[in-house]
Amino acid sequence: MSSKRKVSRLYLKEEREAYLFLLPWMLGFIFFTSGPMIASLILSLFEWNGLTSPIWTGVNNYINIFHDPLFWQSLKVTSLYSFGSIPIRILFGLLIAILMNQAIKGIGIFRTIYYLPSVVSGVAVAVLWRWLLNPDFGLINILLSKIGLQGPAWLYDEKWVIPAFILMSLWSFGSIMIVFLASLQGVPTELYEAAKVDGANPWNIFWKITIPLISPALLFNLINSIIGSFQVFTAGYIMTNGGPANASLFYVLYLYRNAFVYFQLGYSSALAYILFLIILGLTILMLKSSSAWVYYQGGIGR
Amino acid sequence: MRKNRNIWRGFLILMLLVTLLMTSTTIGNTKIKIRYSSWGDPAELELNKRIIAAFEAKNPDIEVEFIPIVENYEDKITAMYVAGNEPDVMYTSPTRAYDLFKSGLIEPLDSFFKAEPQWLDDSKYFTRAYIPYTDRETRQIYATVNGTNTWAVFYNKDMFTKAGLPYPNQYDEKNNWTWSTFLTVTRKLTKDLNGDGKIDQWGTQVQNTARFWMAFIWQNGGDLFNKSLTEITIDQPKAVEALQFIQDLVYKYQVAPTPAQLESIGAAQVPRGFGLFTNRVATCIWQTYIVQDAKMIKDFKWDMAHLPKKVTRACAISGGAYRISSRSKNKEAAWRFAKFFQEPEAQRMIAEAGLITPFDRSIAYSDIFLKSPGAPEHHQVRLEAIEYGRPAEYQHKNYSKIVDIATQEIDLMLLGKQDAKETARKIKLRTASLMQ
Amino acid sequence: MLPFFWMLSTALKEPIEVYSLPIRWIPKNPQWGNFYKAMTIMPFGRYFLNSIIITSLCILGTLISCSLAAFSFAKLRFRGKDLLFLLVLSTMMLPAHVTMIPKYVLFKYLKWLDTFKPLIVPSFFGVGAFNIFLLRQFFLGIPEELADAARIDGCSSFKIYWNLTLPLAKPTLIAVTIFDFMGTWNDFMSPLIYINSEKRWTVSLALAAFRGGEGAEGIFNLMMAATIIVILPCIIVFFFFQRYFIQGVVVTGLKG
Repeated sequence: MSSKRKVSRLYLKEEREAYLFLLPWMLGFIFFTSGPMIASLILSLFEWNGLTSPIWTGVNNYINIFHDPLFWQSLKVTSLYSFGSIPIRILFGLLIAILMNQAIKGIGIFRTIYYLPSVVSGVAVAVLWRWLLNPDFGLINILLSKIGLQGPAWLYDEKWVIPAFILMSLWSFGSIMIVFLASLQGVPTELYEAAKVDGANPWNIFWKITIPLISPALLFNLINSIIGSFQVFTAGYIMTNGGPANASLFYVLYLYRNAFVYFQLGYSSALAYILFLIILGLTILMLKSSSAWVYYQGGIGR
Repeated sequence: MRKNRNIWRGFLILMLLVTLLMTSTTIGNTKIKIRYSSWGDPAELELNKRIIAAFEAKNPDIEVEFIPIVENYEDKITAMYVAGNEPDVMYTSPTRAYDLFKSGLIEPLDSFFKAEPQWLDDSKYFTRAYIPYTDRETRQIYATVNGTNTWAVFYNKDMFTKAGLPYPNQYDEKNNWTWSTFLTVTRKLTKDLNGDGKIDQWGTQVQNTARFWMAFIWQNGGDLFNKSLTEITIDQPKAVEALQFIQDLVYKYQVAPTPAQLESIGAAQVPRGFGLFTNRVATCIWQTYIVQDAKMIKDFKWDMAHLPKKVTRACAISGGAYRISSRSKNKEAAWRFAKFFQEPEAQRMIAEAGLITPFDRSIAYSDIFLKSPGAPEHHQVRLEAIEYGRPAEYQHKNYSKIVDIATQEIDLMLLGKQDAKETARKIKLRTASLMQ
Repeated sequence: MLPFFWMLSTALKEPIEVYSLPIRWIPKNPQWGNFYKAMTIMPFGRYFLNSIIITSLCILGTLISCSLAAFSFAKLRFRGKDLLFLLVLSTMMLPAHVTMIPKYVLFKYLKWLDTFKPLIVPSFFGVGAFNIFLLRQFFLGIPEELADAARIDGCSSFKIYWNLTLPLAKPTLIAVTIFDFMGTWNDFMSPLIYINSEKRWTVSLALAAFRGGEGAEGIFNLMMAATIIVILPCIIVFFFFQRYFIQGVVVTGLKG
């Protein structure tokens, strides 16, 4: 009996502590985040150009969105981009992270070099890539011609503009690599040693030991990439502005246009919330599935 | 728990420090404060600061707080409007101005202009600069201006000489600079120099901006809207003919590169995609602010000429302007500042900076502007064009969206996917709901 | 890594040479003075100071508030945990443009406009869901045995957090530092919206100024020079911190 009381008292104590730990975040959420989020949700029920008083429209914005062909186009563009770039970036980031996980001299320089691309800000990257993707003089097409292929017009060809952006997304694998690297650090070397002693081959070691142990990082990178790639904006804004013929009209670009070019702030808020629901849905899916394949060394689970 | 408390205490102290560090002390003073916002690159910002300094020197009772906004200008201004703390004077462009004016958030300046009618004297000033900022129905002016930009044909003299062709200016002097002579000239100047089957030198260049293609439509006697702005008229024969001419330059006569071909000659790297810089494009129809950049050209000789005409001469005019918030608490002071940009001292600085044709005629025609170092021989074309220029920004509430739709369709036209008639038809169709 | 060489070579060119094609790799007349020009065309010294203050304070705030929250999600049991965590994640799912105006109005009423406060204070309150998520994943990977032992001895959660979990999570904390540094250093949207006076600009804003306006773009080479200088601290920070990613950090100290 007394142990039960002790357990429940401990549990309450733990709960109290938990909320205390969360206090800064909760204050931040209440004061800085929830207000604007709720404000924009409410805004989505109005028609507003930012100057005159908002006009109530109820769910009209949402209804109009479903009839808006550019909404569907931007959704298609963004989905294609995401499902193309996410697997590639994660794979690439993982591979490089494994390479960088050596304690050899000068590894620091290599890591820096591979991380460097992520450091350069949006506009410089855009300019760089416009040059790289130049149909005649760009490095990419020159390399393709060396192996006998005629490179496409990339940013000027409706069919190839999204693949161009996917290619560009590879450039920013740096943060994914870092997360994997930090995670690889946490894999106990004894496991590797034990496995080697047992005569396991590298392939098995990779799949049976490394992957499960870095699965928390993998989950992180997956969810983060989903959240990020569905909201991609800067590159599209600077390089193609949705062209050619809306073939690169990313969702957030369309949203931005509705807000700050057409000044239909209510409509763009509605667009934002639809995106929100989509991303939320995908994330919940990921999280729910994670109990099947994500292994936490800590053991407390989700 | 004791450790927790210490941590919270330290936390609060840290917060306090942070707050103290960041608090700025304001010493009260008796000057009238007005806030002014502008966008611009470092050179323009410098110019603004110098003008502000000159203004404050002449008006010691006013202090100007300068808010330079480097990018996303209207985004931030919109946020400021919503929060109610927008600046007193704002640098502005015509696109958003109409909405703002209709919403009552810009102060109409009639009473100020009535008290100072000299600004409307066309013999002294290029008063056409006010047109984009005049309400077409009430005729109220709601901004002061700094100058005007027009369009011109910029051309590579060396290429013309080599081809044995007279310069566009010479055609113009004989009143023979038209679409057909323009076509003749550009066809002769489009060459495959090294015989590899690919064109290396282009006669001209087209761009998908409203101010570019609108001019062609006007030159042919057509228009995007009808006079009362109740109907889209881009699908009428004259407008369609103009759009078709532009498309033909690229696909039928092949004197202008496609967007992809433009990239190949390196137009992506040059400022604003101004092909003339690459020394591979013979003529470029461009906005006249590019003169400042063009002064850098050392590899060949260049000059500028009027745009070719068809039925008439036409081009787009634009220019920066200074609007005053109707919620400003210091409108009198704001007006004094806004009009300062039109006064000789500021006009001279603007002329020296060379970014825009000054509003003041005497200064515009003076040597500090017209004959500034590196200026082309026919620089005055820039001033003359003001007489036949008109704004491409119509005062219709859905203008932005309409132009956006038109741009998308013309995008397809310039990709060769549809002809001008189809393009115009689709524009008319897609904008139908916006014209109610 | 070619693009970086291109950036460097562009930075060293004279204005018109920048646009010549085909790309000339070695400038005819390297203008090393461009670096100096780029830094003096606007008072970059002041901007660097501003950026450093903002960035370091942000990192501090993030490390504290986000690790606290992450610890709670990873190690402690309490009602509503899953829902709250989903809430944390959801704060990342709304595009920033949409909350920009309400946030601006909020800060106007707090009278925090044209100060560094909107840029720094939120980070002390966990406004960085990304970092909370990251740290939570890693905390979950730390075995419970040590913590359980300490708890039976009557240790408070805070002691466990401070003495046990944080030291073991060094690689992740380093990662958070790096990410936060890059993010804050290069962020120009927030300073753009909240800061008015030029003297409070960050380097990211100043860099954006090089592109602004319709005026002379003959300073593309200077822009490249400025970009290189602005990126330098990021490279240095990364290089310095990645040393802590030493291979073979042994997490478990137990033998069963």
